[in-house]
Order: sequence, then structure tokens, then C-alpha cells
Amino acid sequence: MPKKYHIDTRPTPPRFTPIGKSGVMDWRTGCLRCKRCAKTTCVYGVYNLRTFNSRQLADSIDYYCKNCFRCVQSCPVGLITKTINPEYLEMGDTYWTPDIISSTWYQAETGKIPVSGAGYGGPFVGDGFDDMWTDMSEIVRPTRDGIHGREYINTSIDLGRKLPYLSFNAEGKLISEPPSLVEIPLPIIFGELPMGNLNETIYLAIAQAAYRLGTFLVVTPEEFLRPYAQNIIPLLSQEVLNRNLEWVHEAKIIALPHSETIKQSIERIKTARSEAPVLVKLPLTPKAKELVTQLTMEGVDIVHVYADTHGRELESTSPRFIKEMVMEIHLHLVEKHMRDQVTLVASGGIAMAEHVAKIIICGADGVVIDLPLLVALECRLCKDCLQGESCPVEIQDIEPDWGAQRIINLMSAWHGQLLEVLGAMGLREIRRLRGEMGRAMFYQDLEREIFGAIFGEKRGDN
Amino acid sequence: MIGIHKKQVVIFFCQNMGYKKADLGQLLRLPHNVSTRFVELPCSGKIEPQFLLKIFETGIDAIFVLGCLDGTCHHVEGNRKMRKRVQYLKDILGEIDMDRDRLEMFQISSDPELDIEHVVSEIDKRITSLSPSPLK
Repeated sequence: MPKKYHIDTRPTPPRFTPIGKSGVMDWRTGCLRCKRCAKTTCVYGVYNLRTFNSRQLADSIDYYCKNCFRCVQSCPVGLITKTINPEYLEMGDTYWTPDIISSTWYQAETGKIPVSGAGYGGPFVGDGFDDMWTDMSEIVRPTRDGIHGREYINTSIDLGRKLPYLSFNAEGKLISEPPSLVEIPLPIIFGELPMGNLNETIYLAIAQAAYRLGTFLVVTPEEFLRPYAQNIIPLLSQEVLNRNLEWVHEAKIIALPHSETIKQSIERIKTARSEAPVLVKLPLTPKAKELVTQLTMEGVDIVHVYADTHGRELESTSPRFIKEMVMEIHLHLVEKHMRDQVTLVASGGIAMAEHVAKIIICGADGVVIDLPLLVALECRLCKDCLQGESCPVEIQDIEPDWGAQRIINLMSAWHGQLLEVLGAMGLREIRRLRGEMGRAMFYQDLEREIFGAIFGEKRGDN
Repeated sequence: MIGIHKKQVVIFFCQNMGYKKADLGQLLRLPHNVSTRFVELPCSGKIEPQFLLKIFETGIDAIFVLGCLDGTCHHVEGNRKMRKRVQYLKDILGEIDMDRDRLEMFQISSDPELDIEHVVSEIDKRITSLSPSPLK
């Protein structure tokens, strides 16, 4: 049996007190100084851990509190009240919600799967990825406890082209030459960050994490990334080629931005390095479906389709969501009998581990992530950096080792969640999950099937 | 580069007053040479007295707490408790020979009928007249 893929996690505390969800209020006036003080019996000891950072103006109790409400209920005079911290609700935006940000912080700090023990109070369906329900039919299986232990569930994917069939000569010898494939142990590649006060250290942290995890970073190459050259997919724009960085031509995979002259560029690379798979970065526009097919025919091995940070289609008046786009591209390739000739990776709006599984169900082979990496490095997605203001968590001053460990912790938590999802579906290979749309239910389809006959087609913006 | 003598002010405000950070910035018409940090609280009574002293320790020139009007506190008496804390802390500031005017609580609301001009001018007056914090 091959060695199991294991990710080494280490608790990596944040440098700044994170913005917590709770607003614990302790009135004090009227305190009886009784012997049954609720603050001393806190299960998590948050009142003892409580500190106030006078420079950040942050009260750590709001972060440590686990919402058990024990103190609120057990203070004899009812002097403790809890509510939600308004600063917490202001984080992020409609897509990158405070809950996503804070759960990413937790995963980056501990490397553990986030568990919400206080019950789920939210809706069961929503927009985007939230209108997909994945199959959990095998969740009651007795060996389920083995998915992190005895059973081996593989999360590796292959990057590159696969042959549609094999050819043999008259003597039965294989004559078709298998194309080179690059295997990565996680269906996740790191991508270029769309914002932030970015500098060398941040990219070094990400590159180090990619190296230690055995995955790749797709990035415009810079000289300082050279030590991690084996785990870099250099994006060779014209500007980079002019800079004459020798080492980038030795990379295992070579990336190109999509352009009018892409065909010539691919041919040039294929002549120089026939064994290296070529990745093309393509925006998800209304023309994406045709372009992916065309690129596949022109010999591209990997297509990286990207939407905006909210997962919306680009250059469109009524943008569709990334999952619909990927589904369309996947089915189109299947119809043309060329799905296996190309590896499809998608990025944009991938915010949680479940999104990885869901986009793979929709037909992608893997994902490229960007913003979750930044959030793992404590980013609050306040977007102040886009206005040219300073970063509230001084992200430019991180230590590369600390940053790399936070990213590794996050990936370990995501890996654990992927195992949970695959285990619950009874799958042992994430490669088998690709395009398994029968393993998911789509709310909009169900609504149409069940209620369409009674109420007619849904009108309005849907 | 921020000037060394730029005054630093922290303003805590209750979320139930109906203002957001941007509204308050506009409303209070703070002078440009003052660096202000607004902190939104679930209730003005959330902030503990020792934390206010810790903030003064870092060299902040003034702290203002904006709470709701009497009788309108969402948490029934959070604003009243905060007012008492502020009075208590002002006494402490006096005892340690710091200007009592560095800390104040104002009770306002976003009711358009309510005239808060006196609050705006009082904050302005305090900020302009204060000398740099001795703890800087």
C-alpha cells in the first residue's frame, strides 16, 4: 500500500487579536461577589484568558467565546449579556461573509475542521454553491470512522492530457506515447492574489506552503521564487519573457495567459519543451465554452478558467455563477469526446472546502485558490489596501515560515473536509468525483421539477 | 508621514444609535489634523473601565464614548452604567493629574429632531484645547 498523504499541522496563533463574533457584556454594577461566579466556571476559561489590546482596541473575549451561553445563564444576578459584535458583521462582503472569514482563521490557526456545535440556525439553501446539496448516502456506513485512519481515500489529481485510447502494433507492442502527467496530492493549486499589500514575503510563504504540500503556485515569476522553482507554474506573459529569467523554462508546468496569438505561443513552448504540460489561463466570459474546446484541440494540456472573486462570469451583462459555467464547459467537452484530453481547473469564488468538492462535482478537475490564502494570513478583506491605505494586520510584515504554516494548516483542514465529503459519498478517489452531477441535487432544478408543473416557470431575475 | 503632534482620538459608539462610522465622521466634522478611530460597540456599556485606562496608557489624547439617550438603551441600562464608569474614571484621571476633559460620554441619537449641535461643538472644543497626552 502506498504511503498515506499526511499534512503536518502545528498550532499557529494569529499575530493580531482576531475580530470575534460575540459581544460579551459584563455589567459589573450590582455584582454580589458571590461564591458562584459564572466567570470562574467558564468551561473554556475565556474570562481568565481575557486581554485587551490597547493598540488594536480589541477585546480577546469576543474571539475566545464559544457561544455556550453558560455564563449568561448561570450568573445569579444576570449581569452577563451576550450579543453579536458589530465590527464582526462589518467584515468582508456579501459573498465572503464574516462566518467564512472567521472559520478560515480558525482552520489556519489550528489545522482542524471547524465544527459548529451550537447548532445550525441558517437557511438550508441559498445562492451560488449553496443551492447544491451533495450526496451523503454512505454517511451511516460502519467503517465511516476509518476515513482518517484505516481507509485510504485518495485526493490526488493529474495535471495534463490523457490519451483517448492506446494504439498497439501488430506484435502487440504499445506504440502510442503516453503524455507526461504531473500528479498533485491535493486538488488545489495556489494562484496569484487579487489584492493586498503584497511583497516578496507573502509569495515566499505561499511558495513554501506549495513546496511542503507538494502542490503548485501559478504566478508571474520573480527571481526571489527561484528556490521553489520545482513548485512554481510560471505565467509567461510577454513581459516576463523579455526579462530573461532562465530558470522558468525548466518548470514542470508552464502557464500562458490567453491572448490572440496563443496558438503560436503554445507551439513555441511545445517545440522547446515537448514534455512539459502547458496551462492556459482563460477568463470565464460568455465565449469560454468555445475557447476551451478550441484550446484543447490546439494542444493545451491544462485550462485554468477564472471568474471574479465572487465567482461571477466576466464581461457579461447578466453574469452566471462559476458552477454553471464550469458545468457547461465540462458537458460540452464530454459531448465533443475530448473531456479527458484536458485538465480543467477553476478559480474565483472558491472560499471553503465544500466549494472544492462542489466545483469538482460540476466538472472541474481541481481548483486554484487565491483569497483563502490571504485570509489564512489574517487578512480581514477590508479592502483598505485597494484604496492605498495601510493594512490593519500589517500583512506585509509576516514571517514566511509562519505564513506557510498557516496555509498548510488551512489546507490540512480542507483536506480533512474533502475526506469527510468523499467518505460520506462512498468514494475513494477524488478523480471519480469529477462531473458526478448525479451525486448532487440542485435546488433550482428540484424546484422546477416539483413546483414547475403547478406554478409554472419561475419568473423574474432567475 | 504622519506628523508627530497629530492628535489621536478614539471614539466608541453604540451600534443602536443608528449611526455608522462614516455618518459619525461627517456629523462630528472633526478637524483634519486629528487622527480618529471609531469603534462600534454592541452597547456603550460593553467597554470595561480598565480598558479605557489602558488606551490612555498608549498615549491617546482623548476618548469619547457616544451612547444612547436615557431610557432608550437596547440593553436596558448599559448607557447608564457606562455613564457611571466614565464619571468614576474621570475622577481617577483627576487624581493622577491628567486632564479630566480627556474622557467624556455623550448621549445622542440619530433622531433628526434632536439638536446635537452642542455635542459637536463640545467635542470640537475639547479636541482643540487639549494639550498632547503626558503619557506620549
